[in-house]
Amino acid sequence: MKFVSRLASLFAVAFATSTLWAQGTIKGKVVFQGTPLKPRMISMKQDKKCDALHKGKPVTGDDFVLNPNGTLQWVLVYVKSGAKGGKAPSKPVVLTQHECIYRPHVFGIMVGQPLEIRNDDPLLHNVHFVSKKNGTFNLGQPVKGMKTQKVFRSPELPPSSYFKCDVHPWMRAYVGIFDHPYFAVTDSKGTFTISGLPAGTYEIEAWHEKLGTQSQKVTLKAGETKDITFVFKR
Amino acid sequence: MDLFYNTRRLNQIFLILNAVAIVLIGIVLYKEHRPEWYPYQATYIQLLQEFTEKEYKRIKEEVGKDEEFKSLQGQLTEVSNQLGRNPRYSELSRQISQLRQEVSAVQTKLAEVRLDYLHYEDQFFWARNPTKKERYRQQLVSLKPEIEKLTKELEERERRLAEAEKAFTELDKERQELLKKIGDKQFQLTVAETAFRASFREEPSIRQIHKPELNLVDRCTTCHAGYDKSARWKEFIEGKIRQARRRNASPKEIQILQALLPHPRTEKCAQCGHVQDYGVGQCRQCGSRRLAEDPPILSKHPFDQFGCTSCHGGQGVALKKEQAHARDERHWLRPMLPKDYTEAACGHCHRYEMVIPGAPRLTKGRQLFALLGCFGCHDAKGYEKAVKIGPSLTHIAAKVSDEWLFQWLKNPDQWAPHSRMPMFFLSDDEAWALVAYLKSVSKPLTLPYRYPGGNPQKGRQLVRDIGCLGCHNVPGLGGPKSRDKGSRLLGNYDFGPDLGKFGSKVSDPDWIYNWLLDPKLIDEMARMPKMRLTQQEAADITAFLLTLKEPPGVQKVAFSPRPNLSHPELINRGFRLVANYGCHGCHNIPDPEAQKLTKIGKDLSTQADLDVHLIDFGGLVLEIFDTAPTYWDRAYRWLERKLKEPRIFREGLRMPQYGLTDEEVKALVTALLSFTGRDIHKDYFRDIERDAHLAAAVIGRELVMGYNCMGCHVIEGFGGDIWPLLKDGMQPPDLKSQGFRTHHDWLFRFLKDPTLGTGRQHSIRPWLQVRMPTFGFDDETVNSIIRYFAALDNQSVFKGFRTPYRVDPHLVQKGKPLFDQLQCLACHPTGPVQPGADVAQLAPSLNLAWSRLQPEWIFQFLLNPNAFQPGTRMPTFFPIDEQTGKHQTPLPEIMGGDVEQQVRALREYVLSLGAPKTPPISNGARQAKKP
Repeated sequence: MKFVSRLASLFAVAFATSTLWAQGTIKGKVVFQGTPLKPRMISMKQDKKCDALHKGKPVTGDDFVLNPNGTLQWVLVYVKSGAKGGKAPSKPVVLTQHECIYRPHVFGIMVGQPLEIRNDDPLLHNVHFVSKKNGTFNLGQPVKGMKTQKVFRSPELPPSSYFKCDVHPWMRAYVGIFDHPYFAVTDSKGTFTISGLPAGTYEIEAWHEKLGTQSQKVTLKAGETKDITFVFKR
Repeated sequence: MDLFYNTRRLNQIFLILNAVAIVLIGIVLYKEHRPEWYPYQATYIQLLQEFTEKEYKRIKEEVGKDEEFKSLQGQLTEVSNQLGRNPRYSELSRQISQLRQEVSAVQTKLAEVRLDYLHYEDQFFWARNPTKKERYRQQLVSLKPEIEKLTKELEERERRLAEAEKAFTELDKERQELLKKIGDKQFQLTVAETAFRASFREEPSIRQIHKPELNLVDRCTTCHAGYDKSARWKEFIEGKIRQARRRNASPKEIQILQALLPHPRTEKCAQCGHVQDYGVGQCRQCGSRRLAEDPPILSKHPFDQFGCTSCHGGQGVALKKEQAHARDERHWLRPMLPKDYTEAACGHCHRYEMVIPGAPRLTKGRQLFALLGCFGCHDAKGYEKAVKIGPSLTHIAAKVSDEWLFQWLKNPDQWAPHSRMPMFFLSDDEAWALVAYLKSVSKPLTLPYRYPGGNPQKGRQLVRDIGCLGCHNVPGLGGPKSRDKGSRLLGNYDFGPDLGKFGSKVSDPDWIYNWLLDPKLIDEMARMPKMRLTQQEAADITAFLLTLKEPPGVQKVAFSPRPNLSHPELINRGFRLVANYGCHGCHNIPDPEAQKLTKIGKDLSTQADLDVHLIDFGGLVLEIFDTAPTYWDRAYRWLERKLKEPRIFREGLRMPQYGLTDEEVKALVTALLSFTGRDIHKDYFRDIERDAHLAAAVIGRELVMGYNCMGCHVIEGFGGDIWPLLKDGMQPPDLKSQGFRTHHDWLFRFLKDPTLGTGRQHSIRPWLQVRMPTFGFDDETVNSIIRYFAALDNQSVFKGFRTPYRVDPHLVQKGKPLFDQLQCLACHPTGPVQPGADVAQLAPSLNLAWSRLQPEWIFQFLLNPNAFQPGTRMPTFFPIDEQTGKHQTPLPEIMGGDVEQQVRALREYVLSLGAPKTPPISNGARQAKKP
């Protein structure tokens, strides 16, 4: 009896240590094939102050950004099923309203993690958050440098959770709210990295504002780094 | 006979009889000791002990494990120690106690001297003798400096005390806050401990709620002992039930456990909107403690005041299940209502209300009762003044052809599947007779305008844009039906007719043209409002409507040959049919004979009190008696069948068929079961006679529904049918808080003439395309609508006349920088709109505020826009801080960051924009003092 319990505790220790070491990583990129969408040109004539910030030139919208190497920016990649837990970091995610544009355009955040919303512009923005599971709020930020902190409480995926601005209808930002820390957004090279994953099989999903979702199953061994590619076609 | 002399034998017999008697007594005693309710109570108490112990341990453990609690306690000791070491702290507390003593000593002395002074003053006043008077005067003079000295001394001491106290609180602040935080946890622990201890004093007994004035003795709580417990108890019992199921416990045991579940009750989080079982104390989604019962049923109807049976029915005094629920007790006339119809009982006290939050089925049923025009044939209390729902038939011959009328009467559903006109199962002869009669009484019509011809394309655009689709469906453009049925008042039914085949129904272009220009030209009582169309617009729409023809080749109702419609016998038969089927209940028929007809149906005012033995089950008696599980269910089955297939019971029944869905039938049955004639205690009855607000709401609601205001606006959470068809930001407003929003006199002018005499189609948002129509209401109707909105927002119903609001120039000056910094003009234009601007982003001009909006509403709206206009684009500039629960300001440097002052100043500035430049009151009059 004693032997069995010893053995069991040994296994438990071994298991615990192995999960500690065995954090895998999923890396990859998001590729686009087919005819690209026409980039949306935003005219800010409606608010002269915004227009002046851009010197009267129209600005390209963030809803479809095709990188020069054929990859896509602003794709939210996340573990859809198979992962849970993790403590929310106390370091806030920052959402900035810069030159009448939300930055970043797409981002992920953990449940319980603070979100800091800033206004970098010397003019009125209203941060109008809309969602199905996290309620709504609509805050006016009339002063440059204003900061507001918010926390989300339930997991939710875009496009049902997003930010808009009623003063500037072109402004949009999408947020994915997760109960685990395994998510990333593709950068200007179309790459992403999700690290710290324990060994196991996961369903990884990629979401793009205009092109919808793609998903694939990945089995990760202990300490392994896997390279995957998502392809969005049109 | 020998037997009686045989002692031995007799002894044996007595022994046996004795044994039998003892057993019987034993059984009786046992039964008496274990009545039906006993196991419920026994289980309850056993579980209560288990539960309270578990709760106590849970909280204790939580507190023990709670790092925060521990660290708080640690902090407290540390802070107290620090303070103990701080010489200033002890010095201050010593100073304070000394100063307090000194202050009270000086106060006493001052009081004594003042009394002396008063005494001498009195003496001086009454003294006749001049020497005495002089003496008193000198006394007074000598006392005066004494008083002054003491007063100064007191002031000085008080000042020092205040200073010392302030410094002390400053020092002690941290400790006090820690104490407060710890106190909460400690309190929870004490409560749990007390409950745990108390659970051991419980004994199985009969429990009851007694209200003598209601004649109510409810012993339901003897078995349903957990009725008032919270969510944790619910989870605990549910766990027990699962356990019992797993070990295949007897059904009786499970039944007992189920009876112990608490009354269903939910609460809603004010912060994130999460709904959960009542009584957790904390939102399970976001952790907020701002929770309120939603719907607020039990908080408004507490158990100890209402008992159980006043809402659920049943026999309260009974202690056996069958008798208490009384579903099969034919002699108890208020059985417990079945689950589907529980809400009916809400309507017993809420007799006159139509919208009852927390009773959605009853609300739906009462709305259907009114909107389907049930009161046309049936008398019902509260519907005495309701207006007929159908169109007037005064000029029917000028509008439609005989063939169309025949077809329509035969089967309305075939022409328009969702029309409110029911099917009467007329034979061809009957239908022709009705056509003949209606044609014979129809009045000739002279139309003032002639249709000049128009552009159907432009007409189509107009129909799409100006708001016709709030009431009418148009194929290809949508209509009220594009709104999901749940939020629509009428559900599946049409309010205005579907215009899909309108061109085939009305073929006279002049009729359409005149009707569009002003419906009152044709029908004095027309419900359709004037859309303020120009002649060109009306002509275009007419042209468009004429293109909406019935597609060829549609299966029509079989025509029987058209008889001679002017035959007097046929006409006479038509009149008898009208009288028989009650057409006059919904339509105005221009025949003096028809005007004299009365309602043909049964009075439904006391429908809920109907006893089963009075119901005529006709041919379905066996079917219903066999299928209904209990005695009283027979009544409910009969009602359901009657509404679904009104004529199935026997020949000669007259009620037409409405084609109701099952859910609509249930809603209507709930409404019917809510019409009771029982006497209800006056403190509990919501009486329209004594409650002006209620009366205003009831009368106004009928009007607002009758004119289908909900086709365009959201009112009381219903309607807004046209919203999905319009661009975001270009919709008619949600009228939440309307009674509080605008001035009553402004609303009066607006409802009388929505252009407000500006000559523009829209006075508030000139860029809108959808139009607020001119309804042509008379004064009383407009006032009723104003009172209705006022009543909804708990405003006084008649606000009286008002002095025009006078802005405070001082505050206006202070509000100007706020107004500029918050950049209100980014959305609210004050001048004409620039061409090319995206008008959907714009908000009403603030120049209108002074004449239109109530100042108090502006104040509240600025603090919390979404609460007063759900879904508004207006952002919150003064959000509530989650920690402190107070409003914050984005501009802390202005006016010391005082939110209230800032909002007042901002409001004053906004009001000043539209206020007349010269003071509205002459110099002689003064403005009333503000409270």
